[in-house]
Amino acid sequence: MHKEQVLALLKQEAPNAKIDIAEFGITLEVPSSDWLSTIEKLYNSPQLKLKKLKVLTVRANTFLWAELGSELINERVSISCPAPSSENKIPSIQYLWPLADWFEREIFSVWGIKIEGAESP
Amino acid sequence: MSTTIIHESNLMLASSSAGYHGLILEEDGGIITKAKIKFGYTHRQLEACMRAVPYTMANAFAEKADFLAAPFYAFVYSAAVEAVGNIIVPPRGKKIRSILLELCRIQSHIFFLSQIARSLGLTQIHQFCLREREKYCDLFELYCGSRLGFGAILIGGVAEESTDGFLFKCEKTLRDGREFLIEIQEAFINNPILQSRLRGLAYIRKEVVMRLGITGPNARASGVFFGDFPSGSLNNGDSLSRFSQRVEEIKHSLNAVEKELNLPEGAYSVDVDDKFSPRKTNVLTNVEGPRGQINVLLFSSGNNRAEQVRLVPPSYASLRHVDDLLLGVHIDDAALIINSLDISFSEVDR
Repeated sequence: MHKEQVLALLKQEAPNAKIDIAEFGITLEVPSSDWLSTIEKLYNSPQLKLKKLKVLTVRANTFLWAELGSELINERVSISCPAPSSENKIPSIQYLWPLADWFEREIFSVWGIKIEGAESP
Repeated sequence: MSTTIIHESNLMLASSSAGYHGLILEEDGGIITKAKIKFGYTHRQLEACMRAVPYTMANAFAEKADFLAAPFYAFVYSAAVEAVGNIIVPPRGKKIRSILLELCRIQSHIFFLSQIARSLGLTQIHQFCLREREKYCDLFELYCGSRLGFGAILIGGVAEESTDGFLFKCEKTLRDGREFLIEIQEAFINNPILQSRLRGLAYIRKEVVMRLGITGPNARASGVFFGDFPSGSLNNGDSLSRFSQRVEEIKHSLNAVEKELNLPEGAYSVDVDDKFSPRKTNVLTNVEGPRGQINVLLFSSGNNRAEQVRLVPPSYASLRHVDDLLLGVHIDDAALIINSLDISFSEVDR
């Protein structure tokens, strides 16, 4: 699948996302409130099938950052959202990827970002 | 029902790993009814250290993530820095890297065989495998001074020129490696103890591999293939399949090293100093290590230090499934199951 096709599909699945086309991949930036719903759409999209979670981490102490992978597309796709304030929580993505629990545990332990519904922390 | 708390100190568990871990088991009549693996006791904050020093120095921290796959971590981190910094590695340097990586894969897999032998109580085969592995450590020592390959791969290429003596010794070690495989086939792989203990033990289904993101030999043993790695004689996902997959990969790596021994002329490295400052961007690189796909996510900030580095070890995904694999098996098989997954706690607690 060409980069343009991937971009069109990403725009279709995540219309509210700010899409940045960088040299080494495509990044979608979404508001915290759209974090889970956007990831769900990308995961369930029959054309994209972004069903692999390569890494979930925090960038610059302020942004949640996930690297997604798919067997159908050869593009690197990342999704990020601003970390919520200390009173708020971000929803867990463990039900999509069980592996995310240890990433989420680390996000809580190292950066203090609270994850709602996370098993380990 | 009784609760048994087992630590590495009193039962040999996942001894192929550096670092400590705990395994809390509940057992009923010797059958495990609940298992919870715990780790994080020796987290070294390698990624924080890597952010605190220039790119060239951070390489030394990256390779400490897993002592059994040090050149792989150095390679994947270097590849990330080379990508953001537009550094072109000379062809000779690339070939030497390939040789070092495949040699490292062989020694890691032989270490795996030795740990399985030890779990089964086959101490002579355990020693036999370790003796063979020493030959690969000798090669690394000859090349870079470190028996585990620390400092062999640097940003921009490799640490040293490969001498004729090194290449000659590589050829000899490859010949020995083929003989080793013949002997190990008769003494170990056809051993009824190994066959009866590993066959049907700790199945990992294809769907679980996909769901948990397990990669490397553990995934290939369950019939999930990425890249051009060979298939073992068995692909049904049990411990015996994981064992035979690694034996097959040793053969594959021996052939791969042999093909790379004709090195092109030219430089083996380009100079990169500690003032090297790539542009502000981010990159994700990966390499197929001995335990699966190693990912590095690097954010460069425009100066000589990384803004963020994240090493993603493959053992992470395999370890996630240990709790489920141990349910319903005999307590005696716990160590064997963990060893069959070839988990490195060193890279998990990086």
